[in-house]
Amino acid sequence: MWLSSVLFLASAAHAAPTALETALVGELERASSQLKGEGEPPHYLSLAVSDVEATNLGARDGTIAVHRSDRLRYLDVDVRTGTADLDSTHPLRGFSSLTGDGREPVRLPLDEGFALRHAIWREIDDRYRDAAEKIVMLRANQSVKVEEETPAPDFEPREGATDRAEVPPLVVDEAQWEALLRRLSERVDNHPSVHKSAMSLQTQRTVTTFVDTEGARLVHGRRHYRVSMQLTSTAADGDEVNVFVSRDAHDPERLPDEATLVKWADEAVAELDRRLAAPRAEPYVGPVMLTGRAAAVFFHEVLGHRVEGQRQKREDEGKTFAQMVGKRVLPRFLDVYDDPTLTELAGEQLNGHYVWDDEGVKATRADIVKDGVFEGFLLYRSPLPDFVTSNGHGRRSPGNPAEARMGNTVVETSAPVPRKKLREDLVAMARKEGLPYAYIVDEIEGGFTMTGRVTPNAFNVRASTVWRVWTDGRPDELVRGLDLVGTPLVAFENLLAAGDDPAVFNGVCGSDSGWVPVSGVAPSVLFSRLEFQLKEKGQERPPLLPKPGPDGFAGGGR
Amino acid sequence: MIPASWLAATAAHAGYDAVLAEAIGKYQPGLTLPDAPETYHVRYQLLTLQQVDVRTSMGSLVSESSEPFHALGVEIRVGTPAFDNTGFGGWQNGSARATLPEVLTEEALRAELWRTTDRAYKEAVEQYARKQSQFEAPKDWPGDYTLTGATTADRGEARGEAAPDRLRALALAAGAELATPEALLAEVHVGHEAGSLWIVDSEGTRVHTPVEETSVRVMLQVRADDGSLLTDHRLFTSRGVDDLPDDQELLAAVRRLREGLLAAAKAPVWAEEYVGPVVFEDAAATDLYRYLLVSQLEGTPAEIPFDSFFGDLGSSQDPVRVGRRVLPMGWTVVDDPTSVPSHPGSYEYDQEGTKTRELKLVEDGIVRTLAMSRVPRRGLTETNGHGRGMVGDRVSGRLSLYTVTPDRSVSDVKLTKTAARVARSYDRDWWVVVRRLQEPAVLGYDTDYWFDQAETPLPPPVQVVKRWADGREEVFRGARMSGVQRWLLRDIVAAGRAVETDYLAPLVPGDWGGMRPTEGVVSRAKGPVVLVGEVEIVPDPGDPMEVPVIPPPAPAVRAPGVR
Repeated sequence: MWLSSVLFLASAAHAAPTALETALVGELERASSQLKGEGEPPHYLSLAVSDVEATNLGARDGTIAVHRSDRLRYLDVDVRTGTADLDSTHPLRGFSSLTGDGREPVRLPLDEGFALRHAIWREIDDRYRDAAEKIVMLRANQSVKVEEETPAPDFEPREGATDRAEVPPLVVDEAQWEALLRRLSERVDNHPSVHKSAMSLQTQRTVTTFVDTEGARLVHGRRHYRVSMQLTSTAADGDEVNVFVSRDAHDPERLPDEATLVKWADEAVAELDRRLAAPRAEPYVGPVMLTGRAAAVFFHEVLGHRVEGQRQKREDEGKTFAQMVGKRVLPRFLDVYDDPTLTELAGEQLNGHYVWDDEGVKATRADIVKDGVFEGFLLYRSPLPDFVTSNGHGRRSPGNPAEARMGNTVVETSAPVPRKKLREDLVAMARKEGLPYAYIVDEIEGGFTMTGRVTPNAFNVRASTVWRVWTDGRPDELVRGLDLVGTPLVAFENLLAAGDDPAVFNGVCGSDSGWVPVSGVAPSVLFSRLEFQLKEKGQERPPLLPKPGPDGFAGGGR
Repeated sequence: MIPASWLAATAAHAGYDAVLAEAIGKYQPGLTLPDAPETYHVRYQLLTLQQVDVRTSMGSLVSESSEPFHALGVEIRVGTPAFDNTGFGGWQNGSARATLPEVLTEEALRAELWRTTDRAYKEAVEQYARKQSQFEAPKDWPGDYTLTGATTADRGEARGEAAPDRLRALALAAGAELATPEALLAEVHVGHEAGSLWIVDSEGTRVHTPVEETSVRVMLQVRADDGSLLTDHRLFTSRGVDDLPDDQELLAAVRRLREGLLAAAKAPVWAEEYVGPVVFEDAAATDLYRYLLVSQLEGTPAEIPFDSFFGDLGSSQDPVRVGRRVLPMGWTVVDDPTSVPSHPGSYEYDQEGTKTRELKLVEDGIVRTLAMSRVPRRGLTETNGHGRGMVGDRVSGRLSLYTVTPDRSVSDVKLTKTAARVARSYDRDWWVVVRRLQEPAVLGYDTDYWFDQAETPLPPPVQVVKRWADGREEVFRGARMSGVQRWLLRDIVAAGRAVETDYLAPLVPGDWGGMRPTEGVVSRAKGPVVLVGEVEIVPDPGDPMEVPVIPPPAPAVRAPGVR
């Protein structure tokens, strides 16, 4: 079993409210009372403050590029007018949908005095006036337009919870890390093929205080560290070639030590050279194997975004899985779930961990696929016809309304196949099809997916390390310039086997509700057929001028 | 926090200009592509600063930072001075900017010079081709650049200290004085930067000048009961923190701002369409020169439009004419960047490394010359050392410390009598006085307002005042000036006492839209209060939907003796 769960936050449900919480409650109650008498009174109001401390260190060109510590506070106000069945968050259709809500991240003062209450008042008032306008438009919109395909209430009322947790302080030995990052930068930047590099340590502690008119009183948060290195160069054919390596952790002691980072740096330089020398490949369709991290991103893009609750309701969405509950969508040996309560898997701390979501709902595991059969969705407080209870996946970054988003998306197999065997099967399939080679994707640099109806319901997983595996036994050959593309249902139909080698992808995911930290965990997977298209290619020549060396402009060479 | 290593690196920066000069020597010969025009000029600008930013809202701290900022500007010119890659619309044009590491070393500088020079050169070659393919220079084309020979100067270091603690205390004190429950927004933004600018070019120019500026922007927004948004502001700007006005003086000014705007918000709404004389007093007088005059005196030609997929990039409009009347007979305008050495807008060498000088721009109301960079225009082919701009962007001729002087000034009493006489010709016994215009950077801060000067040459006044000859006044709000053109300045009937205003001009001439509160080219306008013969003033009603539904929170009770 490669699953473990560790308590991240020390919880103290009965701890006394902070001065910030008291101020928020005061303004919440004052506003609620004032707005009761309005023509369009709110049926729900919540306030959330994200108090962010961050220290970022970065090195490039053998010196410190950034050394910055910040503390910022952001306010999010959600006001819902109308009723839980039809409220102001309901999407408008047609021309009326052109109305905007003008919502942006709101910076708050750093103390708890009058200025804080004034800023909260201003934002509540702005949000209320928007919500009051919207509900008027919405009622007419509903009466004029046809009945929606997936009618469901707009809001799930709940009893507010109380939980006040301590978020551990940031621990950063800034001088030590500054020196280390500089040494790493020196180590890679002297290499002739490295045109630019960035070594960084980003640390962030976020404490979120959430209160609402249902009585929720929550203090929770997250501590996060990321060490990363990025190397950039330009290939002779103009391709911009990057190598990116990172490690995410909740605890500073889980960051890699200097010896490990030096090893990463050396490997990254070697990988950059390999990628620069690699030939650009051609479009391809045939057997493909994705190793763990690549598979994790594949599932994130192809399945994960399509099971977000809001995408089952909107009239402009493709609703790929909306009617799939109880039907087979994956092979019998696969389970997929999203569980933000997990802190660690496969030896890595998970970026998508959280305890409370951004709508004041406790995070829970959401089973998406069980034994290959579709089970359910990622849910927030906007119910679906047969799924009326949030499973704590309402997330956002400041300045956005929350929507259902992934946290830790985990793919598990009940029939693990050794990785070596997966590779043998890959080659055998290619040989059977008369193909000279197949492909293994080891690393990806992200991806995107289109889930709507106007555009093709397709995905693009941006591959960065792709190996051509020859059927005649020649050594594997690294190639570049390929992205995985396709459509979800066809792709999953071609999934044949999964490995015994789960791996973790930690990253951040951007969507309609902003950027949120996520993790994906998956074993290697084998497909009988996937498609590669050409990746966008850079058009700039490599530098005309010789790269300067440590001794001045004389160093380096074209 | 300032890393100790940054301080050490700053002390060791003496070698930077040598690195820049060496880069030109090494790189210029290598900037050659087959069939590409020759690289005839290379300029590097290196800006090294320590910056402090503090922002308070309603008297409380929202954010603060104190950190180094270093930038490299690269300008590559290919072709010849008669026709090169510059002055053509769009970007990727041969001028490039790169942010440098906070702990700047010569090695890091060399690395960025390599990357940015290479990029700027390739972009210059392409821009040259774009320009060549779409533009045929007329026979009297003045050329694109003027080679001037080398300038060398070292004007030393910035003298002041960043003093982040003092700036924070000042921002908090000013914020506390400004804070009022009636405000929609009451913010203080403090920006301070101090450091050096190096200019090195392929003609042998090596100029090193100190850079030091402190700006305190105090701004207040109030929503009147009809939904109108009223704003007012004060800008205090100086070189060093110690050069700012005395704290008590500054706080008193903030208090007057708060009291004045709150009173204006309670004033009745302007309801009539007025055509008649208007007296522009105080900062409104200098604002007339700032918005209507300056653009007629800055001589760098607009870029030739690039006919692109997105339409024309660049503007063919050139509002500038030497020999045109811009002010009444007898009036003069002089710009002298050296006239107030203690002012942050003062400089001895412009951003192309040219020594600046006093310019008599307007004599007898007629434009005689223009503020010029090294980019020539017909009839003015030489720089006069007024080139300013952001590092890595196009440098253009700008005004900085200018004085508008009338042929004769009259007393306040005489000005009043003249206004009354003009008003009588419109069958009125009263006229309008405008004392302050709203500041675009404040009016647009956290709102949807965007100042499009082509459409509305003057921003709306904070308030308008009806004045009678016996001295009675009635204050109104919710008005704007309609149909204003630059010719308004020729309709000045009388001039009074001189007033002086510091302001931040747009970084790019004419681009007032998205300015941040402490962003811009610091400038000072000095000129007389004026009576303009005819201005149209029309109602500018508010939007009642913008009136807050919830009353603001009550302020905390202040203990006696505590502000």
